[in-house]
Amino acid sequence: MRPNRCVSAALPLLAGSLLLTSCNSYEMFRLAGYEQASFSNDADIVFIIDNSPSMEEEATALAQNFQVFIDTLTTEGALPEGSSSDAVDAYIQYTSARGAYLDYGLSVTTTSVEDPGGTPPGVAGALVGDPSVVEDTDEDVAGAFQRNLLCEATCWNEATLPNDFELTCPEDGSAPETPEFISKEYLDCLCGGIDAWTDHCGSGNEEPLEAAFEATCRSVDEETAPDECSGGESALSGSWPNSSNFLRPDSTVIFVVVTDEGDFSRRLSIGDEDPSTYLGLMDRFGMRYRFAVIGPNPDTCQGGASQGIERLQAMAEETEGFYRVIAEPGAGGDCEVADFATYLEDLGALLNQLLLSFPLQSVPDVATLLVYVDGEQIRIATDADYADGEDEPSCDCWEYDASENAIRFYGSAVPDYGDDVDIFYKPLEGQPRTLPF
Amino acid sequence: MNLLLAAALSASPALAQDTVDLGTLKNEEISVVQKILYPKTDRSEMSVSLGVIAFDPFFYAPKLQGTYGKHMSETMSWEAQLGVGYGLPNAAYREVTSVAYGLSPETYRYLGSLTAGITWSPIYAKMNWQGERIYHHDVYIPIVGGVTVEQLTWGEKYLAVAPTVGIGIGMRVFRGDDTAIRIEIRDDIMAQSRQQSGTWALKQNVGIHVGFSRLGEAQ
Repeated sequence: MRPNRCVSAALPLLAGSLLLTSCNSYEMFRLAGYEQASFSNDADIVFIIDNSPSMEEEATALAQNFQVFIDTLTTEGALPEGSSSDAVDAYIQYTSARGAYLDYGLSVTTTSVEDPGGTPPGVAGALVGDPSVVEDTDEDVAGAFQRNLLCEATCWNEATLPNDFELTCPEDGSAPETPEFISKEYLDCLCGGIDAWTDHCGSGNEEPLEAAFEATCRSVDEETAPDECSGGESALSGSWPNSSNFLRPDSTVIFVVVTDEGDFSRRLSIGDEDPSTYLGLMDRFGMRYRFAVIGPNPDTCQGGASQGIERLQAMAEETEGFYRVIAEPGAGGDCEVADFATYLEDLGALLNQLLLSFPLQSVPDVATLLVYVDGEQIRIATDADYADGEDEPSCDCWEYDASENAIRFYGSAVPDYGDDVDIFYKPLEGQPRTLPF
Repeated sequence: MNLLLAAALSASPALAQDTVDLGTLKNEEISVVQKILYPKTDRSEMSVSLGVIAFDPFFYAPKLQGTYGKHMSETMSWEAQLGVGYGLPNAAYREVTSVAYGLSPETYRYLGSLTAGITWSPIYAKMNWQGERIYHHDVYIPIVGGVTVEQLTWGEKYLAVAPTVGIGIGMRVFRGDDTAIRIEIRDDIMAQSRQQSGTWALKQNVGIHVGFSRLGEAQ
C-alpha cells in the first residue's frame, strides 16, 4: 500500500473518532444531596389562631401549655458519664431529641381574612406582635410567644375575665410567669399596658386556609408570588404588603391551625371539603409545608356548623401533618378543652420527624435508590424488619415513603448533625430540567 | 551576380549543436530528498509525557504516561504505554450535581491504562520556524490495544477494567541525535461495563500528551 493512501485513510478515521468523543453518554441518576446541618433544621411555624369570641378558653390552654412544646424541642441530649447502659440510654435520648438542633421561628396570625371593623391585628395573614417572629435563640421564647398570642390574637371578654390583684409584674419588662388562670392584671402586665389586649376580636367567618395562603404571600416578593396573591379574591389585592418575612429559604413551614370552627375560606364553596385548590396554591411557593390542625370535633362538642371540618382534616392528611380535636367530652359529659399539652408534644414530635425524612425531587425507581450517610451506604428496610402490626421498621435502615416521596431513616441510620446525606436514584420519568449543555 | 544574390538570401542561419535528451525525473523516482538527519531504525525509545484526557462532558484527567518502544524501521515501531492519572470533575459536572439540577451521571474517573501497539511514521520532514531555525520532525500514527482502569465517581465506586483500542496522531520534534519532544493526541475507545446501571457503554478518552523522548543507540 502506498503511504499517502494510508495517511489519507487514517486521518479521517482519527478525525471521525475525535468527533465522536462528544458522544460519551452516561446514565443519569437523580441526586438528592443534603447536609444534615443545613437541611430540614429550619422550621417556620405559623400559628393561625381563631380570634373569634368563642376561642378565649382554647387560646388560654394553648398559652398555658406552650412551655411543653418548647421543652419537647429543647431536651438536652448530652452524653452523661457513667456506665455503658447510661450511655445507651443517653444515646437513645439524643437520637429522639433532635429538635434541639432545630432552628425554628414562631409567628402568629389569625383566621380572620376580612376586616371585621376596627382592624384588629392579624387580618389577612398579617403576623401579629413585635417582633412578629419569635426565634429559638430569643431569651424567653415561651413568654414572647404568649405575648403575641394573648395580647394580639385572642378575643377576650372583658366582662368575664377575673382579677388577680396579687399578681406582681416583673419590673424588667419580661413576661410574667404563666398563672393558673388568665386575669386582667396578668394581661395588662404581659401586654405592657392597661387594656392593651382589648378590641382584638376577629371575623366570625374563619378562613384558616386563606389566611395561611395570604401569610405566605406576604412573605415573598411580588415578582415571585403567584398571581392569586393579588388577584380579585385575595384580601391583599391593591397594594403589596410584603411585610411578614417569616419564610426562610429551604425551611419547612408548619401551619398550626387552632380553631373551633371548620374552614370557610373564600376560594371554596361551602360544602366543598376538597382542599385541592389550596394545596395547589401553596405548592406554587415551592416550599415544604405541613398543616397541623387543632380543630372542631367532627363527632361531638361542635361549637358551630360542621362544614369545613373534613376540609381541614384532608389538608392535614395531604400534607403529612395531623388533626386533633379541640374539645371532647369530659368525665361529666360536658365538653372540655382538650389536652393541649399532648397536642404540643405531638407538634414537637412532628418537627423532630422532619429531621428523619429527606424528600426527593422526582419520583424514583425504588430499585435504583442508593442512600449514603457520610459516605457509608445505608441498607433499605426489609420485610423482616417490621414487627407484627408495626408501621415502622426496627433496624438501622431507611425506607421509601411514597406518600411523601421521601426517604425516612430509622435507628442509628438517622443522620447526625453535620452528616452528609446523598441519595442517588433513577427517576421514573425523565429529567426535570434541560441540561446546561 | 543575380544567382549569387539569390543564393545568399536563401541561405539558413547556422544551427547550434543538438541537445542530448536525458529524460524527465518523475515523482515516483524520487525516494530520498535528503539523507535523514535523525535515523530511528533499530533504536529503542523511552519517553515520559504529561497529558490531559479532555473532551469528556463531565470529567477531565491529568495524566502521566511512560512509553517504551523499539523502531524496527524508519516507518514502523512497536510501543507499550503505561498511563496513570486521576479524573476530576469539571464545571458541567458540578452544575448538574448542584441542587439546581440534582443529577448524578454515572461517570467513571480515569485511573490508569496499559496499552501496546504499533506506530507508523510515514512522514519525516523539516520545518522552518519563522525563517530562523530548521526543525527535523516526523509524524506518526499510533494504533494500540490494551486495558483502561476507571472508577465510578460515587456510590460504591466500582472499578471498571475496560478493553481498549486507540488510534491517534503524533509528532517527534528532534532536538539532537538522541532526544526528541513528542506531541501526541490519541483517542482511546473502550467498552466499559457500568455496574450501577447494569449497562455497557462505549467511552472515548481523548488524551493530549506532550513529553520528552530519549532514543537509544542503534543495535
